[in-house]
Amino acid sequence: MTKRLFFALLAGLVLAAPAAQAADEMNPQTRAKAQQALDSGLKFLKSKQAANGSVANSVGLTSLWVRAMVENPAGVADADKPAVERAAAFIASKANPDGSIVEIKHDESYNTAVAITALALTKNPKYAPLIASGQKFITKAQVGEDRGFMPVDNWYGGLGYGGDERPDLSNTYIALESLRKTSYDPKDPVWQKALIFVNRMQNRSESNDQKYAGNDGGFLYSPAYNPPEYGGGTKSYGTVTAAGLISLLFIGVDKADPRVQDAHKWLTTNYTLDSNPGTNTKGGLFYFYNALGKVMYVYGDKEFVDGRGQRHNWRNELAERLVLLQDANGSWINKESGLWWEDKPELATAWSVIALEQVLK
Amino acid sequence: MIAVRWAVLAAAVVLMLVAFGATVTGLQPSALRVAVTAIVGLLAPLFWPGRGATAARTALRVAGWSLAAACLAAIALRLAGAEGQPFPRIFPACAMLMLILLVTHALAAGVERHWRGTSANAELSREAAGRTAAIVLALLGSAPLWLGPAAELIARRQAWLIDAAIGVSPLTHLAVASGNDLLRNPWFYQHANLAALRFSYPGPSSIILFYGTVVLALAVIPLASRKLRRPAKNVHPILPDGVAE
Repeated sequence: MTKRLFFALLAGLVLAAPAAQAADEMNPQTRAKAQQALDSGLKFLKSKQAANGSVANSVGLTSLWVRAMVENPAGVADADKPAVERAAAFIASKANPDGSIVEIKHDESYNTAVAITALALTKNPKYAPLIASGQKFITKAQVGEDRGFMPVDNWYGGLGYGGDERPDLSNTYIALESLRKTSYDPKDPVWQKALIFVNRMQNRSESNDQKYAGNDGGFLYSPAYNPPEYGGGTKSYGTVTAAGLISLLFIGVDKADPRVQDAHKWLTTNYTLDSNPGTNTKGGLFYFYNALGKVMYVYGDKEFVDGRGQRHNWRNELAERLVLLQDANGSWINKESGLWWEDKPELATAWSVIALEQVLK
Repeated sequence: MIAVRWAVLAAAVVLMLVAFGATVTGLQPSALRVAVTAIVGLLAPLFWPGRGATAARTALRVAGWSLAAACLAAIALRLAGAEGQPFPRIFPACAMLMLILLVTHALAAGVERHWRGTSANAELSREAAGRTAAIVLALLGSAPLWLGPAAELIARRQAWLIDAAIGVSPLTHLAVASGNDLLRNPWFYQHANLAALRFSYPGPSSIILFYGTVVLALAVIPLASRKLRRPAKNVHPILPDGVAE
């Protein structure tokens, strides 16, 4: 009896540890508000599920929906488990013979990456073969020797949307995240190839051998190219710097490594939640909140100091901002920019919920 | 004469590639395949050699000129860039170009035939037919750009219209065969409203089926219509004298 009680207590402590960590590191009132926002966000998302289990018949949106539901620190309620299984079944139904999981004929890599991440999160062993095929599809899509590129080429090691060869840091991060979340072989060359690409996306001439490399430690989108929405050029900006930093950590680069340190320094020095840092635009703001939540959680620091010497608790501030931006029906939407589909509440809400889940972990 | 036309076409293609910056290093290989095949595809009908003396010779010219243009694109791609493109990547793009040109040149031959009936000047008819076919091809090729805004408006009720506006374009077909995400190329991304919407490209098999059906129809319809126009033989059997029908 005493032994059972001891193990029950131990299990309880282990399960409660992440929540306890967040509780320690957050203002209790903010934490309570964040939990409420998360619950109403999930309620909104649940209302968007169609009879076939999908969200808008989209593998991408449905996969983010599954992730938002399953990563809830409180766990998936029993009543919601059939809905999650229907969503996963919809995703699985869109698997193609080449290993991709997508309902359309483009964006294959991106959709497959978020799909296998969602399927892995369900922990249902019946999806293991689909996950393995998806992993193969993603690693095959990496720009490398198979496609006639050598390490000297600046696209080498990157991944794009999947329609062609052009890689970018955003898709590379999503692909690396999916491989990490699905426990892909850490010794596979895919990681070191990706590191070559990620290094070349950092404005850090000590580790970036390209002519365009700056020296502020932040990241750009694609070799010598930023999207025109962010002014083009090769300037570092927030969304991709968060993506670059988390990519380095997913690849296994040590937190003490100067590349990681410089990226973290750029992100914290230029920290703001008012716009996509470094751009003065609100385009991609919810993507930024999502990536910021993930990278700060993985990085592991409770607080940081910004470029003006001000101390920030990222959990409190990100939670407060998301609570402030939430609509009465529980959804989020980017009211000032439709870039990257952020004018779609299904997407902005899924990203916001996942960001809150990082806060509350 | 046709060899001279091909040489002039080749020179025009090189000039156009240079003018459009397709020879600049750094262009992604799939985008280069689209650029080269699209430029050859647009120029080839302008140098259309004209109908033959018989229907069979015209068919031969349609096929021959399309093949010659597709081969020109393949040569340009083999020579383009620092190392040239590998044949397995060149072949699908040039095969798609061949299919597109078969239909385009068949259209040119049909238009030329029609205008020869109304104009005494055969040379003018040939040139006008080539230009007409090139204009039709250019209009269809740019459909995602000029049909895009209308498709976006109507698509709130009919989502398939977005895919249709993209799928109708021969440029999309070349991009699919070249393995290129057409609407994510920087220029299209900035100028085509459809790039930011949810869409799907047509699959290679459905494009091949479409062109295959059109080519087959173009081959069968003239044969069938000629058969219908031919005076009927032995409709009424010749009966022996004195035998009442």
